[in-house]
Parts: sequence; C-alpha cells; structure tokens
Amino acid sequence: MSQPVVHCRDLHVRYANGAHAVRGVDFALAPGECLALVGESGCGKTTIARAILGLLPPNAQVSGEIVVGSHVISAAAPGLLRRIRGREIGFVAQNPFAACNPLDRVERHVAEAWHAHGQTPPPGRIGAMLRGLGIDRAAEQMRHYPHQWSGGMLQRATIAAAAAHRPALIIADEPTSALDADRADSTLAVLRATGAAILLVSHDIGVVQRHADRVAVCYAGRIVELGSSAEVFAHPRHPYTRALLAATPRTAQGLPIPLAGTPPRLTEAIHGCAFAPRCAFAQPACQHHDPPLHHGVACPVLYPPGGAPTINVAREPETLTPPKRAPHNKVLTPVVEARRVAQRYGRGLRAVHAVRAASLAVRPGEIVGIAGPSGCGKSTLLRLLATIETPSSGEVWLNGELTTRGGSQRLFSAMARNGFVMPIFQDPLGSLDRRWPIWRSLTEPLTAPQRMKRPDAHQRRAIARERLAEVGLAHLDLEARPDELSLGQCQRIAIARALIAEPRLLVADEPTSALDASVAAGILRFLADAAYSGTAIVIVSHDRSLLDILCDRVLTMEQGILS
Amino acid sequence: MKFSQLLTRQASMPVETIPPTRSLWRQLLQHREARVGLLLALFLVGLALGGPLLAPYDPNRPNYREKLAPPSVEHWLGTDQAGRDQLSRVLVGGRQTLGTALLILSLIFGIGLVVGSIAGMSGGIVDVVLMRLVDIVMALPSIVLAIAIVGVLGPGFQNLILALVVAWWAYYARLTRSYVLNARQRPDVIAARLAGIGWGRIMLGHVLPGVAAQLLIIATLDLGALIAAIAGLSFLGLGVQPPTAEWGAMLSDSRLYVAVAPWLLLGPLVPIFLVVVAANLLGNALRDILDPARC
Repeated sequence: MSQPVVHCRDLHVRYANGAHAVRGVDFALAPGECLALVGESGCGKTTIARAILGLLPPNAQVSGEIVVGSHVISAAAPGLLRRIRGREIGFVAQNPFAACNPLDRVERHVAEAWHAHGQTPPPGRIGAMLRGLGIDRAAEQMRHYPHQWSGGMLQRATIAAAAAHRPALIIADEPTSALDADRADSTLAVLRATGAAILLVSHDIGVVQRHADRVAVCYAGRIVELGSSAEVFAHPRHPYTRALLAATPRTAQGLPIPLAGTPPRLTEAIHGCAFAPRCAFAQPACQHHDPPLHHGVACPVLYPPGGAPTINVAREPETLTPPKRAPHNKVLTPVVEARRVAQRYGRGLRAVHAVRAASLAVRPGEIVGIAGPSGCGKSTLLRLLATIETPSSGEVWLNGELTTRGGSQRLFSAMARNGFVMPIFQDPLGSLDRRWPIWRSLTEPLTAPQRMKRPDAHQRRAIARERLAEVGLAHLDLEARPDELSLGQCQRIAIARALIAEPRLLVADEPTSALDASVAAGILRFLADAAYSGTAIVIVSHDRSLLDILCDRVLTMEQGILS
Repeated sequence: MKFSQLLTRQASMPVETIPPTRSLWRQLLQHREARVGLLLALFLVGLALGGPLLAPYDPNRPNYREKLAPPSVEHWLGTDQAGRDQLSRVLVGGRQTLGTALLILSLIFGIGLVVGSIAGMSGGIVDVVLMRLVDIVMALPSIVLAIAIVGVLGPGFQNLILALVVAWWAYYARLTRSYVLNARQRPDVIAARLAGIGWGRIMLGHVLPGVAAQLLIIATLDLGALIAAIAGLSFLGLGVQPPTAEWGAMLSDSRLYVAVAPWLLLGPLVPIFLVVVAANLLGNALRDILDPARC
C-alpha cells in the first residue's frame, strides 16, 4: 500500500461519564479508497469519524494515534486542525438541509470552503464544480436558497464544498440516510467521483455493498471484521457480521432474522469479546479473550489465541421459519375501505393535493404496503385511513360502517375511537409519553371509558409484564421511562400498546426507518405475527424491498396518486 | 467554575444513563445547580420569614439627624433619606416583596394554563376569541396596562395584584395554547385518541404536565421581572404604599440618592439579585429534570 491518507493506531475514545466509546481501533485508508464503517447505533462509528476530524466534544479523551497525511491529528493544536479541515479533510454531513443556513444562497455555502481559509473562490469555479457533479443550469441554480433544492441536489452542493480544496480524504457521516433511496446511489457515485479517499459511515448495508471498496464492521467500539466489500458481503465470517447481514432485508427470501439482545453499555467494563453475550457460537473462552484482528476478523472462536478454531462457524445459523400467513378471504368485509378519498391542504392555486382520489380496501389478516418517495402523500393517506384526519372529499369506511366523509368534521361511527384502529409511528420515542413509566403507556388503551372491565394500576402492571414478555422484553423494569430505553425497545412497547387494544387494523408509518436493521427485523416479525392472528395492517415505507418481503400487496404512491 | 458556566449547563454527552431515582425532589437534590438554587432560596425564604425578628431597628422609624448615613457599626447598610436603618428595612421588606411576587406569579400561571388549554383544545371560534383577547393584552406594554388599571381602580395592594395579573397572564396563555396545539399531533396523543381515551384525560395525563414544566421554567425566569414591575408601580406611588418596606420600592428610592449615598442601592439590590439567581438556577435545573429530551 502506498502512503496511507489516514492511519489510526490503537485509537481509544473515552467520555467523562466513563463511556469507553472507541476501544482500540486500527485502520488505514489508501488514496482514493472508500472504506465504510458499518454497525448498529452506538457502535462508535461516528465517534471514530469525529475523532479524525478533531471534532469530539471537550469531555472526550482521545488516546492512540491518528495520522492524516503528514499531520498527527491526535496531537494537533486547534489552529492546525482548522487549517487541515477543509483542505486535507473534507466533511459531508448527514442532513444537507440542517448543514445549510436557510437564509444563505447555495453558492455561498460552497464558497464558505474558501472563505473559511481567508480566500475567495476563483471566479466560475463553484458553477463549474456543481456542473461537474451533475447539477443542471448550475450558474443559475446556485443562486437559489437551500429549500429550493432537493435533498439529493443539496447533498451534491455540500460534497462540492467538501471537495473544494481537493482534500485527500473526505469523511461522510451517513450522507444518504436523510435522502430517498433512489438518490442515495447517485450521491455516493458523486462522492466517489471526487477522487478522494472516503471514510463512509453508514448503517445502510445496501449502499455500502454497492459503493465501498472495503468494509469495517464495528461493534461496541471495536472493529470486529475488516475486509474487501465483496468478500465481507459474500462470505461474512465474524458471527456479528453474519447476524447483521441476516437482519438486513436484502432479498425476497423471507423475513430478515432479528439479532437478539442489545449491544453492551459502554459505560460498563467489557471483559472478553463484547459480542459474546449475543453470539450463537460463544464459548466459555470468549469471556476472557478479546483478540485483535486476525486475517481481518476479531473473534475468539474463529481465531483463538494460540490454537485452531474449536468449532465450525461456517455452519448456517438456525433459520427462522417465515411466519405462516392466514389465507384472507375476499368475501370478508374489508376492515378498512377508502372510497375515492382526497386530501387537499389550502385553497386555490396554492392548494396542495396530498392525496388524490385514492381507493383501497384491506381485508382481515392482510398486509398492504404503500411505497413512494418522501412527500408523495403516503403518510396522509394513512392518517385518513386511521380517521386521524378527515378527508376533503371521499369516504372512509371501517368494518362496513361509514366513519368519515369528505367535508364533514363529524365522526359518523364511534368505532374509530374504540381501539379499532391503532397506530405505529416512525418515532418510537415520541410514541410513548416520555414522562410515563412504560407500564402506564403500554396499558393505556385498556383504560378507555367504553371498555367494560378497566384494570386498576396493580392489574395493569401485571398485564404489562405479560405483554412485555410477548415482545421479548420480559427483563425490562416496568417503571422505566422511554428515555432510558433503546429505540428498538420503545418501538416494541409501542407495538405491544397497539396490540393490547385488540385492533382490527394497524396503521404503521415507517415503523422501522429509525431503527437499526438488527432491531427492525424483529419489528417486522411482530407485524407479521399480528397479521397472522387476523389483524389487517397497512404499512407505509420508502423502502420498497422491505415492503416486498413483508406485504401481500404493495401499492405505489406518486404525487398523491395511488396505483 | 465560572458563573456563566453555572447558569448554562453544558450539554451532556452520549450514552448517559439516567439515575433510577424518580422523585422530582430527589432529582433536584442531585442536581448541582439546583442544590445551589435551593440553598439560596431557603436562605431568602428564611430571610423573608425571620427577617422581622432579626431587624435591629424599627424599619419605619425615621431619624432625620442621621439621614443618608454611610455604613457604620450601628447601621451596617447605612440609613436612607429619612434616616431609617436600611438593614432593618431589607430584612423586613423581603416578606412583602417575595410574597407579592409569588402570589401574582401563581395567579398568572393558573389563569394562563386554563385559558391556553381551552383555546388550544377547543379550536374554532373559542380559540379565535380568546387569542384576540390575548393579542389585545399583549399589544399593550404590560407596565403601561398595569399603571392604567391601578390608575382607574386606585392604588392599593389588591389592585396592584389585579393589575399585574391582568397585564401578565396573556404570555402564559399563548405559550400554553401553542404547546397544546403541538401536543395534539404528538404520536402518544394520537395513539391515546384512537384507543378511545377522552380529551380531558389526554389533557391531564399527556399534555398538561409538559406544559406546566415549560411554564414553570418561564415563571422562574419571570420572577425577577415581576419584582421589578412591582417596584416600578410602587415607585409611581401606585403599588406598595410608603412607609411599608419593600425591596423594589427601596431600590427606586435609593436611585434618587445614588450620587450622595450609593451604598443605599446595595441593600435592596443584593437580595433582588439573589432571588433572580436562585430562580434562574432552579429554573435551569427544572428544565434539565422535567424535559425528557435532555441529552
């Protein structure tokens, strides 16, 4: 390998609260190479990226060595870091709209790359760069404001800013997760076209597989597997990598397999292999050995210290049978039926037609997916079906009863407010009242006035305990608040809360997009199980492959039109 | 630690586990700023309650031979324009100042919460009427409105309270309304609605605790402004009537003699400052503890 662009040796990051976020990471990046850091939330991938940029908060303590070009970042003074950033290291942030000041023109944001170093951009250079990155009419468009650009276009502008000084290294922290799936690939292509070495932080396995040269799989602050992208994805060796890939909905071969357990708390000391408690292949020795990368894998079972592998990890992990599906009878009354519903916000020329004359019927036990890009009206349609909103025209029928009719704010049937429809939201944390202990949120539907038997607080705790066990959370403290839990746990509680109302229809709006693949796979299974027991489900997502795996039918929505 | 750092607590970093203690009181005791604020508040309340017992002189007895005397062994904080012992007046005035401010604040708090909730929850014509009323009150500078009300009703303690409540409640009502409107779209509220929970219980269970926490933070920060407003009205002769000792009025008085007796400012200024600091510290701590999205 020629002189590496960036080289980390035994990198450790500790926070003042005792969290050991990065625990000894070594890697190097060759010029022009793209290395992806993948792993679940909290595995330290973003911390590694920030450490290289020298952008960790002051309460973080970095040890080990980071060398970028000829500079030792880990020992650099703030002034030197400022000169290096932008010139030798470019940075592309997750959300381009958050990275840009809405009051400044796009042009100015790109020019900032020069202004930050006391220079002025060469005339015509910004336009030429944007044109080079595939922006039509760049000279004209760059005078627009960020909100007039699409997310994909604006991300190109931030890439232009990051690449302005032709840095040898660009760090991209989740550059595509705020973008629609179809824009992710072109953004990555543009990023690669800058010619810089790229350190890509992403939890999107698909994007990484298509664009990265090498992959470093992170777990609990360590790299557990490092290898070429082709090899790691075709023949994952570390048990964690295998589990992570199995949890990713990549093919239409049935539901992905969830990864049991949760990552260790980094504030607590970790002995031996951090993955051992969740590992299907764990041996007693794993509790004591935490080997360094050996042939690109850090696993005490595959490569035990001073010995041959003790077991054959190559065997397939036990596969979960795909959940059985109830045959849904076409004769049954649809649980929900929308008849030419439309939703319009505003009036006259400025009116926004979020949904245009959509008709849809969903029968018991059926899972219907609605796919489409952001802003296509799919969430609005879901809110109409759930009778959270009243349509501006058309009718929504629940179980053969008219509930809402266009133009009338009246709810024609009390059924809609009886737990007949229950929602599952994108934001797991917001789904639960953050001031309430989880047992209270979970059992709240049971306390609705129209229910005959309303349990008291003591009974509610007992019920909550049972229901938590059903979603695999038997160990949770009933008095825990949502903020003390992971997003995946919150979402499982939200599902349990929805199911406790014994709904006939579940409406799920992007239920997994805030979650890691390992956790999302479990959520999909709960939904599939609910459908098997007869609940109809309408699920909205921008992830087509996920819907194809889970749903009986997938409809597409584009500009408010359902097809 | 610098004072500015004390006031604006640094955002804490990731993977922070929340201590399992639940009660607000215990959380307050564990919060460093809150402990300082609580100690200060305890001291000030003690001062307000026990002050009259500690006062070395009759706060209202003039002594014209010793007027505007500088601090000395007999008069630690000097004497005012009528020769009254400033220390005694500070000790006695606390009860009046703090009591009035807290009473007004709780009235504003309650009225704002009720009116704002009704407006936010009912929507439609009720909302429009209530909010236009709020607009009218907010369009007039509060102190001018308060002066006008006291001017019409005549000076006096009850009218002072009435005037400040009328001039001040609108902010709290508007804040409550915007929070309620926002909360109506919250996922947990929608889930409760679809489950069949009535609006009343949703308000009490899901919405108002959050609003109250927000208002409490604003209220602690408003305490200082309110003390200043009471002082302003007293200064105009519309509030607390002389010779009653009250910090705000004393501050206004000493302002006139700042050239010849600058030490007079210290007497009322320091306790008012301490009240504001204590309120701010407690307000910040409450925000940290009550706001679940604190990380």
